[in-house]
Amino acid sequence: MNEYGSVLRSLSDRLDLPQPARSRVLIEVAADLADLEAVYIDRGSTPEQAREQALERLDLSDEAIRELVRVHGSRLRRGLDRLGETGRRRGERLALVALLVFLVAGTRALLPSWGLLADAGRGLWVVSLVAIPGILLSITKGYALWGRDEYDPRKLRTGLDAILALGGLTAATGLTLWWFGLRTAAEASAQSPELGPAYLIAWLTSGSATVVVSFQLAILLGMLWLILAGRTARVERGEAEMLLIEELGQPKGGER
Amino acid sequence: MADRIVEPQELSRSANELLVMAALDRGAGHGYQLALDVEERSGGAFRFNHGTLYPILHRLEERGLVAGSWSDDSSGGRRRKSYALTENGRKHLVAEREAWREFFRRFWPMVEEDR
Repeated sequence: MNEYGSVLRSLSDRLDLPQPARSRVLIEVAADLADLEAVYIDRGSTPEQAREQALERLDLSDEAIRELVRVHGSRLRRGLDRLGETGRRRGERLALVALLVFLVAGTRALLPSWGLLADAGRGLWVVSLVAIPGILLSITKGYALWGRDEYDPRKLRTGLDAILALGGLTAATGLTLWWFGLRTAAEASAQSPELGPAYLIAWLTSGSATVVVSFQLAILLGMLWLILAGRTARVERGEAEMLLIEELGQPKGGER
Repeated sequence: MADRIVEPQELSRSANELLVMAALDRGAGHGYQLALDVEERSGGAFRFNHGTLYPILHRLEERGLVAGSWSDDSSGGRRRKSYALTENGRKHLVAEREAWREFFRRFWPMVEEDR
């Protein structure tokens, strides 16, 4: 670790900012410290003296850190910060409950009026049961990334791939229901051959609607995963770059 | 424009912003160069440490008065950020200079000794 490594590490711990804003501040500080040291050496200071003089000028107080966080934090986060920790947690829980109610009530309201959903029948509820946790998880992750400006990659990664897995499971559930419907229709047709065409038409209608809805939900979850994974990867790159700055004090390449 | 004066409760923030913008008006530069420029030109009267300077620069950048740009040092590959005034920044600087002139024009008669 170089001579500024511990200072930069301490600064990064105090900077409660999302990536890439946090690494940008650190890169700027690291470069200015190195340049300032060079200026003092040119003016006749020894390298040790120059380093001390450069560090003396750094002096990022708590107030300065707060101001930097205020400037770089998202508008949503600034608004949430004004609510305070308790108010924010209450608001988060309330928003999640409201969202769940909205999703269930919205689906229920749409069911009779929207042909595709109505045709899917009970199959819709089964695929929804698999897909809704994925949608809720995506919303929670999205809120952590853009609302709370979370920047711990481990926390962001936790459960992220479950969104993709739930998307796959939703599609698989749709296909299974489609197959199960076909089997039921075939058995019923074997028992009452005169009603065979009616059973098959019923299966075609509800089975295909279930498959279409399940694939739509799977695609939605896949897209949500893509967006969230892309943003998380960006945060991880920023964190990795920051570690390099802390280790070497020399910001090179990477996030801009 | 001449009627606007600096708000007394904003004196410190406004003075710091004006010093930084005036330094940028003399030429674009990195944060540490601006701090040294202000210190040297004021004979050491105004000394910016990074704790004061970065929030000012970043706030001005957020307001679109200053533009920050990243460049790679050709020798060491080190990335550095430099700042320059934007067109809006120049207009704001003119207005702020006028506001400070107006402030002092009204301020001195209030505090000068009666003769």
